[in-house]
Amino acid sequence: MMEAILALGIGVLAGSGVWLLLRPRTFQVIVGLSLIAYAVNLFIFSMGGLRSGAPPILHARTAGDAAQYADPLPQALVLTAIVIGFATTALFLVVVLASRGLTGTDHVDGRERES
Amino acid sequence: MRLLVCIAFAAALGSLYAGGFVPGRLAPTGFDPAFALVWAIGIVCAVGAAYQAKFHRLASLILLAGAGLVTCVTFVWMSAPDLALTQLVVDTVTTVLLLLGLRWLPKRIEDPDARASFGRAFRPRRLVDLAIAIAAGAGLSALAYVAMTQPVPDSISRYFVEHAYTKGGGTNIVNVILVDFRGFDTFGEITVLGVVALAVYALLRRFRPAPESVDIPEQQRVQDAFDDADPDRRRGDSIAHSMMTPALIMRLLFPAIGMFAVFLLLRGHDLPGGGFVAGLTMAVAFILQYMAGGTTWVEARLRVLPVRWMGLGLSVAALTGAGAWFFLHPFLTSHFFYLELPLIGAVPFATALLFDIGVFLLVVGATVLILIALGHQSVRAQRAALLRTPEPAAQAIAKQ
Repeated sequence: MMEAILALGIGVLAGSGVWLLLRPRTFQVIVGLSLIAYAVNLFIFSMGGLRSGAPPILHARTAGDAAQYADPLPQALVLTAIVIGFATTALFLVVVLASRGLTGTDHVDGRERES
Repeated sequence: MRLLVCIAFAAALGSLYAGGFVPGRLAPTGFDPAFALVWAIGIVCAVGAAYQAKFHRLASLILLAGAGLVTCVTFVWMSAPDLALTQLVVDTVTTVLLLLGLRWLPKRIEDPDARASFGRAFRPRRLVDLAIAIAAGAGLSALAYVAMTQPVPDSISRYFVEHAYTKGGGTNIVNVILVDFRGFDTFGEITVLGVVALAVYALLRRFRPAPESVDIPEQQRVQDAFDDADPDRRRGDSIAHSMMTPALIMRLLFPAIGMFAVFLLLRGHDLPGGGFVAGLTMAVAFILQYMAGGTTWVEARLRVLPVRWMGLGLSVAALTGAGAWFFLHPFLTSHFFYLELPLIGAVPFATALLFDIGVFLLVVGATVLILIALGHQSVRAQRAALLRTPEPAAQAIAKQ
């Protein structure tokens, strides 16, 4: 049941993100990418299986038994992904601001649609 | 963009079809209403952020942070304390970053008349986009459900769990993977972070804001007018008075947050924490000073040299890695490295800690550099504007 809830949540995050990604304004795209980043991070994280109350921290200073702990590998991958996500958001935001200064619009194409 | 999204979706659908859509037989976990409630909030936040992103950017940003918080709670729930910590601090920093950026985007006010005609013209396009978005969301949902209910295959994780202490010398397996087993990855990653920070800095050095957003923001004008009207007040008094208590608290918090960051750094190898989250926490401490005192106040009293922090961090990490060469081992770490290097006493003072300190320094430097560079634009753009229009500027300066 927990899996279904989380899967639904991931789906909604990703769906909202994709919708925003297809919008014409740059700020919408930034928010959309952040939402997709959440969804993808949760998705990768959930690949290790959901377990509560079993953080991957060894109880004793010996070799651990893999069955006792949540899967540490997806967690390590997602941890770096979160930090890199911040860096890309920052870079994207600054590129957006620079493009806005140069073109005078916040449209993703750099010019307003003629219509 | 639509084409890209559709191709990605088709590729995912293709592989799902090839693999067969079979929900796993794993015994389902129990239903927890609290978890459902948390995700109900998360879903509302995500949809709300999507809905508000065009006209109410601030609301959208707050809702985005709400979705991030729900993600964070999920990490705590599903036994990933390290991720939750990092997510929490990264969310804080991202929100500050986007708030700083908001100032330079054009105002966009909802206009009911324009909305009606606009809606008709673009309805087909919006409907197609909506369909794509719903399909993508539903597809990822299904994929995630199927993947989560499969029994977890026996992966290399077993190796990490079994050898985290015997070969890496730490009990926090996630941190040991990051700074030891996969140290070279992390080294590459902090390099990327440093490069991004420098790119942001360089881009902002030549930043030309759009003409209409150079002006002093409306709120500040209102405050200035209020201060000018009253002979007893000087410009900037309003903001100084309303910020007095928070500013005092923020200043007092600086050493506390700094100590907490070091604490997170030092315990990282054995308990939740580590270089990344510690570095971000330290960066938050610096940013709070900027919020409390203003750019000029802080820089008159505190010399933050983020580029040096970054350089130092990368050097520490690289030298730690190169140190392995003196023991005739490959760069950074292979797991054999720790077998022969003695651990000092019962304390797992592995060279991984030095590496983590390098990560810490670089993350502090990069984050602070990005945020400060963006924050400086407000000060710089107005100065540039004053230089461009000397007449009124001279009067304004004379008045101050």
